[in-house]
Amino acid sequence: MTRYIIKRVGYMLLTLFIIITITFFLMHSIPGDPLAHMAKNLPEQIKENYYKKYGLDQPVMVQYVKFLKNLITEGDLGQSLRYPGRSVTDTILEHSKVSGRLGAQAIIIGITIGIILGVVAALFRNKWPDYLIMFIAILGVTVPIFIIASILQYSFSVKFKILPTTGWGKVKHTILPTIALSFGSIATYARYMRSNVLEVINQDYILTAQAKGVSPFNIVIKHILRNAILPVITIIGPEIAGIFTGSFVIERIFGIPGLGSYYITSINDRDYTMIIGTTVFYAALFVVAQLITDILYGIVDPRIRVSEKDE
Amino acid sequence: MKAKKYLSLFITLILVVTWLAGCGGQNGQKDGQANQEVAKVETGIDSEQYFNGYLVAEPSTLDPSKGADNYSNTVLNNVLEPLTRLEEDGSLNNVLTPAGAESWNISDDGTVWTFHLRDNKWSDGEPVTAHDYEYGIKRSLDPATGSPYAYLLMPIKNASDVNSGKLPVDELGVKAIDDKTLEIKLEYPTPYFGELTYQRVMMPQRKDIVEKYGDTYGTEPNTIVYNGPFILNEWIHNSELKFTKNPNYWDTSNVKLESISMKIIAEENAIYNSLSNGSIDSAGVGSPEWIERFSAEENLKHIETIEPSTYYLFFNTNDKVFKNANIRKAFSLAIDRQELSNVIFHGINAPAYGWVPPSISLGNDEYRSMVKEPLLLLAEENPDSKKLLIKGLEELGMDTDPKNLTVKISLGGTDQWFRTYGEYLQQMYNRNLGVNITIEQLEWPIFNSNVMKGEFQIGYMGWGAEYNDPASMLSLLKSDSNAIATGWKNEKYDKLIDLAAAEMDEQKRLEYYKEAEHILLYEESVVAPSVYPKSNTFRYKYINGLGVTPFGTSGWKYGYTQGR
Repeated sequence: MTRYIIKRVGYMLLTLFIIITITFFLMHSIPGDPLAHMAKNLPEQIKENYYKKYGLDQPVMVQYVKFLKNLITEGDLGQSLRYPGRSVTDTILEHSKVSGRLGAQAIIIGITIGIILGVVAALFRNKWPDYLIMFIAILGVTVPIFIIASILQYSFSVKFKILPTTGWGKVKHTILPTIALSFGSIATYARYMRSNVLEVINQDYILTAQAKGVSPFNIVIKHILRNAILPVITIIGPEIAGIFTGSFVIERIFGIPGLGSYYITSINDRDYTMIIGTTVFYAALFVVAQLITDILYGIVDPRIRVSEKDE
Repeated sequence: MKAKKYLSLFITLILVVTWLAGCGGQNGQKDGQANQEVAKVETGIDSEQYFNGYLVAEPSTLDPSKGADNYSNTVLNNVLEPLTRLEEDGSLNNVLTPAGAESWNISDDGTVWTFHLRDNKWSDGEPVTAHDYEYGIKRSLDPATGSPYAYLLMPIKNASDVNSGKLPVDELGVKAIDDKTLEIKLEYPTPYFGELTYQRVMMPQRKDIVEKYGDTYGTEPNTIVYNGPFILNEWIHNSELKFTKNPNYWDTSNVKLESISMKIIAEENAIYNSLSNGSIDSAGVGSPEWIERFSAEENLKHIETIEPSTYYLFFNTNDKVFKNANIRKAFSLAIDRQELSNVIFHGINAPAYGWVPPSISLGNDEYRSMVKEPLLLLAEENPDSKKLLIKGLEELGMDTDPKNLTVKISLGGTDQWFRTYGEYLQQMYNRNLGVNITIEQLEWPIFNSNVMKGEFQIGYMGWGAEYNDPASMLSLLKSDSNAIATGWKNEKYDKLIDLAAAEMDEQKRLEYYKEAEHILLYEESVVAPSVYPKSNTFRYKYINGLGVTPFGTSGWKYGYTQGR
């Protein structure tokens, strides 16, 4: 196992390095510069001074080496170009906390409700609870999140005036965005869970358990859930990586200071340091989440552990 | 917000709207009038004075030299005290009013401006001195600062050489004669120099604070000191900014608002929902349905203003087709501006027949009220734009059948609005001129870089004037300016702009501008203005004293609520 993890970490670092390199050269090769957000052409001298101040006058290769050096030796991602004076690392840490909190709330609600609904739907297969749950699930998957968010905002903050429209800081600010964010995952997990349970339910060992007189509740908890939940773990990993990066749409609608908006705006603004910073952050989270998923998988499913040993 | 939806790329314009909408306000009376008004309402105003506004995006930085967005401008106008403020008189004309400076003199030849400062204090108790203003201006022009807006200060003596590093910063024509007197020498008499004295690049800065915080100066509320009407207390990045009244401010008795909150809300519907439920007090509204809806609300007042901006098509005069002036004229006249503003802009924007938008003044009068829009005359004389096109094609020795002419229009936006706009242009030109149009939709930075390289035929852009003088629009087309890359060079035009830039007599200056605009649109049609954007602000009736003119800079200073 240890050797396996070391090998995986090595691959992870290599992946990150490749992503950084490709992103760095790609973003410098698209036309435009960090002054583009002004939407006007400035006099040459002004541009020159600006480029010089932020080191953009140097060849891309030199900038790349400098960036890598700062990243490796000091963990420093540089200074934002759109928000002069702000450190990219601090910005990412500050805003990913907000996204992380919201995302965690949404994912916990999403998984819990989703799994319960999925199991219920499978157990009541082709009866009305199944139809109702699958109807909700289809809505959750097909209705775009911004529509759900807008309806929630309009109903609860304009019509009934019980929750704030936008903002951040108190628990009440998180309620609507959490519901909106979890809606999609409730639907996804419910559908996943339903089909997994249906698969498991027809297995011989369930029949055996029933024949041995195990109570229906214990069958669900011990036999069905444990086996049916396995494939769900595969989709949880990447989703956990996603919670720290936030949702651009939800953050915009509810005025939440998460990290999501930086992914989009930094590219439009050609805020090079922020582009590479957010990319590194997301890529790192993603590969780490993948690694954890694989390790978790090994713990939950003994067959994988066995095959590792064989290797 | 309207501008966001349509022209998410023309940031400047969005900024203007925002600044109008959430916050920008200004109550511009001259001192005497303001006092009278305040005295009148003193008895009836609410005991709790606060204002809730919004910004569409996070301010970049409060470092006056570095940022280039109007969100931070909005904040700076309220927390720092520039030499002057552009306030607003009873008939909504902008008036340059003493602020940090109590008075100023201009030398007879117009090249030396001497500002006499009033007593004012920084939020840490230190007195505000002329050295702070001197340092602020010098820092903006210092090449090491890399200030994007430094180019506004080029009329100052040696500014260009200092900014390019040819001369040391000390050689700049700005000097604090004593603690209360600031002398600014100019390269040439600049009649609109007064309009630069309220810009961020001329705001006072404290050397000790700048040096203490280095690059983080102005990035957090506690890394900058304040000397304006308000103090920024809390800044939750990308979420909310909270201000309170500055007790050290020289004119604090005229400041009524005790606290202000500016939420950052980017999403259009969230803004309208916030206005609907009263969590913000004022909002700029761009969508026609919401304008209709809010107009019916009796608690809201509707304020409509024309922004100091022009949206326009522009031609590449080095192109094999558009080097011909008659063809350019034909393509300009073929735009049905009335229909365009009704169909594409839902009647919100006004058709544009001139280059200088309304709401820009020359002296104390609106330029547009004194000079007839040149395209009206051109249209009168040429009722059939197709004839001009054929004439132009003949002059070029090309096939004179418009059906065989294909022209590409490049748009700097990829969203649905630009798609609709492109299709509309296609149909309109096909109908009015019989030519074939292809539309190229590009992301703004790519569009911009193609234009700079001259790889386009017709482009579309918007420009918001930076200061309240026709020069801010007309100087963009000078041959040494790269603002709008038409490739056009006209000696006579350049000369007129230069003459106007150094002419202190307003009547003469008006004549120069009038002639220049005539050359630009009537004789040469280098650009084809299409609409002047308007902004619609809805504000609860209890909000008073926040002004409405787009250029005004007195911010929230005179705001108060009555009957909230």
